[in-house]
Amino acid sequence: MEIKEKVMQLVAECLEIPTEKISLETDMDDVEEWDSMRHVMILSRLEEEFDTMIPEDDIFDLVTIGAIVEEIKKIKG
Amino acid sequence: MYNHSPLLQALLHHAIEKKEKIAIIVGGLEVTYEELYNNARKAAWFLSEKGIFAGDRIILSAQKDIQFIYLYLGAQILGVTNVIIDSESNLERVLFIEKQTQPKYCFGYDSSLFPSICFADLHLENANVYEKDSPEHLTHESVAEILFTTGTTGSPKGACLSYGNIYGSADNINQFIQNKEDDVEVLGLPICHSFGLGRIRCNILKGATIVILGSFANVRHFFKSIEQYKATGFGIVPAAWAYIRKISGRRIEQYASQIRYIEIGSAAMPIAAKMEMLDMFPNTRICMHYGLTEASRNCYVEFHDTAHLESIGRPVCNKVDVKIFDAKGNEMPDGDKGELCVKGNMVMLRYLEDKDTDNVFFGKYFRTGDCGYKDADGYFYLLGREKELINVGGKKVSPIEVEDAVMALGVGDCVCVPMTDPDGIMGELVKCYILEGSTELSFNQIADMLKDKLEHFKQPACYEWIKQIPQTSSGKKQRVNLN
Repeated sequence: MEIKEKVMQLVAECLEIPTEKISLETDMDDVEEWDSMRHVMILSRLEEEFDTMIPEDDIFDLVTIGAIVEEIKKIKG
Repeated sequence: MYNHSPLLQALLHHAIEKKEKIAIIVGGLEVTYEELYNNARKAAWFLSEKGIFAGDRIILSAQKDIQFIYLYLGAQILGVTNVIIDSESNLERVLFIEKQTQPKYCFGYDSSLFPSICFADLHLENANVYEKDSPEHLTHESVAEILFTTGTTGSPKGACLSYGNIYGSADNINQFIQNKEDDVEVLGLPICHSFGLGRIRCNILKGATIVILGSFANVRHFFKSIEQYKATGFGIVPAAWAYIRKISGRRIEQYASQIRYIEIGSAAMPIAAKMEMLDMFPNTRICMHYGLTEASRNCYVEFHDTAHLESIGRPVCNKVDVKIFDAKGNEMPDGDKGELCVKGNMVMLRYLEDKDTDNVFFGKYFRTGDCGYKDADGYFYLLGREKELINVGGKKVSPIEVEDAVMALGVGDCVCVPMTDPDGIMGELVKCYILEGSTELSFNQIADMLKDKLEHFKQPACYEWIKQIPQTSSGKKQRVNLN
């Protein structure tokens, strides 16, 4: 599975919503279920799933699914 | 006008004296004090058209909808009692509260039992303005709102707060925090929570401006609001502070010079986090409260008082008194352990159900159920939590509610206790011990099945088998020695 699909599936699982409800453009403000607790869960699951550490300086900007996908792509090079 | 409600009188005053001043900003919408007052009166007209009058109850639920505030104030004009419920409440809790309160109408969600309307379908702009004064029989002692506690027995209890209580609470807090009329506050807390709703009342009373975000999840948005609206203060829970630190490092300290005050509460905060906040906001008044639904914020400690950061502080003002009593209601000497009991203008009138009110007061002092002591300087210290609630990021979880939900899945017995959040964000999480051999379900199956039964924050973060559930001599589950 590609990074994009994996990220979307993981985010949807954490938010307990169907994958069809989200896209690369989805902003965390657009999804009612996307609260701080679930955001921490998403970050933690991303690090687990991709066996990586997201740099602290980058976390601040991860507010859309597209930004998360780009971040993982950048890290995994 | 509005002799029963000093809060409404303050709103009326601001609507006349500073009509163009912005009272509330939500989702980019700016509402002046004149508009706020008029919209509250439109809400009152809407309610009266629905046949809802003084003494009736309505339920309100919202994360950040402005109509919530219009209805909240409109109901107060009519003398209708507001029942506030968390927008994240599960169906069981909502049904329980609906049955207990028998509302005439529910706002902000679909009710299966009572007439209800979602905010998107509520068109207050088409309503007329309610011109009349409030009914004469209303007084400061009339019930303004009912907030439900988490409850230690699994059943929430409705705390009845009077118009005098909600005004007294806001006035006390403003005195301690030293809020000013020209303050602009950014609110990331849900408005249907006691803390968030209290911040709204404090700002309206002062004639200040409040920017409602409803959540801290998007930290960039929070920072942008601080910049855009030149915010001078914010309210926060320790879990949200830990979250902001995790997401944004020390970026928030760039606003230190403009932030005059921070109010913190709803959960304990590690000393290191308090010192760090003080380091980042050296000139900000950082006020941490101890409070509960029934007795509002009754003690405060300000972080520059570094010698007492481990305490919950002292009573908020001279209208509030806190004492330590033994089990028979005798006051304990300084340094001796007992139950924290609170007297003051913001202590609730009673619980909704008479049976719940038995034994909850020693005279005029409300029994908090929390154990602590007072030192010789008059500072109070918490020692433990007799009520055994689990504090997940400031949200109180009854272990019994979680245990009941787990056992309803086909688990013979279990016991839930707090555990420290390993990520250091939420403070505590729920841990569930399952009695070995009492179920054929796996931990994963239980976790999956609970997703539909409990709110997210109530779901156990960790499971473990246990050979025997510890019990007291009277047969109650003993949670204190488990972790």
